[in-house]
Amino acid sequence: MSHEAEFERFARTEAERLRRVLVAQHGVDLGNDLASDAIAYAWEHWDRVGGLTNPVGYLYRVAQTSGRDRRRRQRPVPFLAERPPDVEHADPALAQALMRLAPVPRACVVLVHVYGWSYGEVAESLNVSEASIRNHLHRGVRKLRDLLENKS
Amino acid sequence: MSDDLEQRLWDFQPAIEESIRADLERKAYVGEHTANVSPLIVGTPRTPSQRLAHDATGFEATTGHEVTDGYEDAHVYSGGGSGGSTSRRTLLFAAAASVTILGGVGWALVDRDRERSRTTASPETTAGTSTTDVATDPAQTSATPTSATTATATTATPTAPATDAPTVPPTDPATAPPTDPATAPPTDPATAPPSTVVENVIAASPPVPLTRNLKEGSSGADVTLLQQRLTDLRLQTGGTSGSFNHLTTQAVWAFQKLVMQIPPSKANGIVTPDVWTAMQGAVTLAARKPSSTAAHVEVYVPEQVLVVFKAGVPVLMSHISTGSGKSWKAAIVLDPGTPDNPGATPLTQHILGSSITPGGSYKFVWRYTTGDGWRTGKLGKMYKPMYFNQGVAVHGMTDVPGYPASHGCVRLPMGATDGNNEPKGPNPADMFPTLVSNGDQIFVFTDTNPTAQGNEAPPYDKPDPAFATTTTAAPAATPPPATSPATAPVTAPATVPPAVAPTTPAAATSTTSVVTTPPAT
Repeated sequence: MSHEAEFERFARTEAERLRRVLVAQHGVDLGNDLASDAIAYAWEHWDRVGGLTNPVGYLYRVAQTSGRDRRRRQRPVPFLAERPPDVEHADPALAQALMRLAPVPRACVVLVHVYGWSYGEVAESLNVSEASIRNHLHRGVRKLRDLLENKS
Repeated sequence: MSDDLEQRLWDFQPAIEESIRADLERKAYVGEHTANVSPLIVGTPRTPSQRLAHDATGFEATTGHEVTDGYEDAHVYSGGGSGGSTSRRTLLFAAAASVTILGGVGWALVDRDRERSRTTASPETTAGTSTTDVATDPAQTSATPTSATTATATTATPTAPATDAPTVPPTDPATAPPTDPATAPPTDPATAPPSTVVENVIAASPPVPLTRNLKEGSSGADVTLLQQRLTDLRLQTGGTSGSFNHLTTQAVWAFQKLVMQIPPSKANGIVTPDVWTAMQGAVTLAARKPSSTAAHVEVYVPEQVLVVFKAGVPVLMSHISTGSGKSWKAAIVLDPGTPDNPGATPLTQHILGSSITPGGSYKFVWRYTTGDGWRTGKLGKMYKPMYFNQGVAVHGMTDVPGYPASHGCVRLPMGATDGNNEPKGPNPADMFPTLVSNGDQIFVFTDTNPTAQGNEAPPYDKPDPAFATTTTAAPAATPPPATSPATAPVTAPATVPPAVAPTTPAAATSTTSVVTTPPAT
């Protein structure tokens, strides 16, 4: 498989998974930025990244580093990206509550319950153990339910 | 975990996908323009694999009657196959498409995952093969499952059938003089009812000095006087309550922009004694172009103001907000029986467009003013839309900011609304349909010099060539064949990668230089 074809396959598959992971963790706006940066990084360093067994997990780490820099500068943002004023988001309460979870539990909740990923997949993408995914998920869901119920 | 919350999260996926897509598109356009992207994309024929990838884009083709902010143009599709498209639009279209390609595949992956964990998931989501059901959310699709899309006979060439343009030939290039600031001396009292106002001059009101600046939030007798005067000037303020509401601000904007000729960005909605003096003088509102219909509308895009004339006499003036100039993409469902869909079933289309309000002469062709007046869609709501140029309408909107913000429509303010989104007082959005009928002319001026105003061809929405028209009300539609479309262009998928892969990071980040060339092998 040629170099480009490999990258293309990566960009069409793993990179999109990476994008979902980062969006799940940081919200759409920042998540998209981080994913795009990470994909660009992968492109630049394809010689190395292409040979990894778990490029998503690796790039996730890369994105976390730059994400820390960015988050420091940024106020909390809504989960869904800004839209034209005449367009309404679905379920704004949920979007808001999601942003009040900590990043990792949020990622777990979104990937498992919104995207239907298995614990194993989430664990691989986030580079942590399945047990801790279970843990984060449990707490995340409990907190989310509290947030939503206390509100309404 | 409660089923409720689980379901709610599950249902949230389309919103996230849509947001990801919109965010990518937005970022791809902000600050970046044609120069960088065009050599790469314009003229590159779309290849089968691009189509396939694009098919999977996370559109949610729900069965509601979706209309973006007025654009429900469908004519493009049936237009001729060649020519006509401007390079600008091709570019926008191509750029938008490239942005979403990878997102589309991501969707396919995601959907497969969902399918695995939920037995109710939609069929045919075989990622990477040929077709994926476009964003049919198993949890949401109740009445009519969106039939899977087949990339069939759509030509890859975007078309812009200028010949279909419903433009009316210019009546007469010789135009009436543009509106002038108040120059006539104050004469008659303002108590004259509008019917006695002949010609285009709105008489001056008796001078009453203003002792303070009035702005939104002010209240008092002077505000009542202001609102009365604005009403005389054909501007609607939601009544003369004496409380300076947002509709009054919008009315002051309109006055500042059109009559005082203040640039729209500088119109602040504050009534200073100077502004008040200008308001009290006689105001000439002359039509810029003679019309052959009893009532006609003039939209001044540079000023962001609209005026309705009846037999040349101004009857309504309003602040408006027109096309933002940004590009957009949307999945829409065309109502059966509308001008663009004469059939009996709703028609789903994915279209790409620019939020541009094209200039020219048109006639109102279709209106939706029944019921509560709201035409609701996932991508936008419109109040009492009256269509005049394909999908471009004049319609009410609760949010009509002081800058061009729409998808191309002409937004009219509707003032404060109650819990049912019904306007509370007299307002332009409600008044407009009572003054204008189907068949009446509307002139959209995009140039400040009316004599320079031609009949610009409207920028048509491009149907997404990667996307075939589907009939949403056809659950019996057979699943698409699991092969590539037979009519695909000749390019083999194998040649795509270099073109596809580099564009995504380029479109999604600012680090374009990193990825504009394929890596050395």
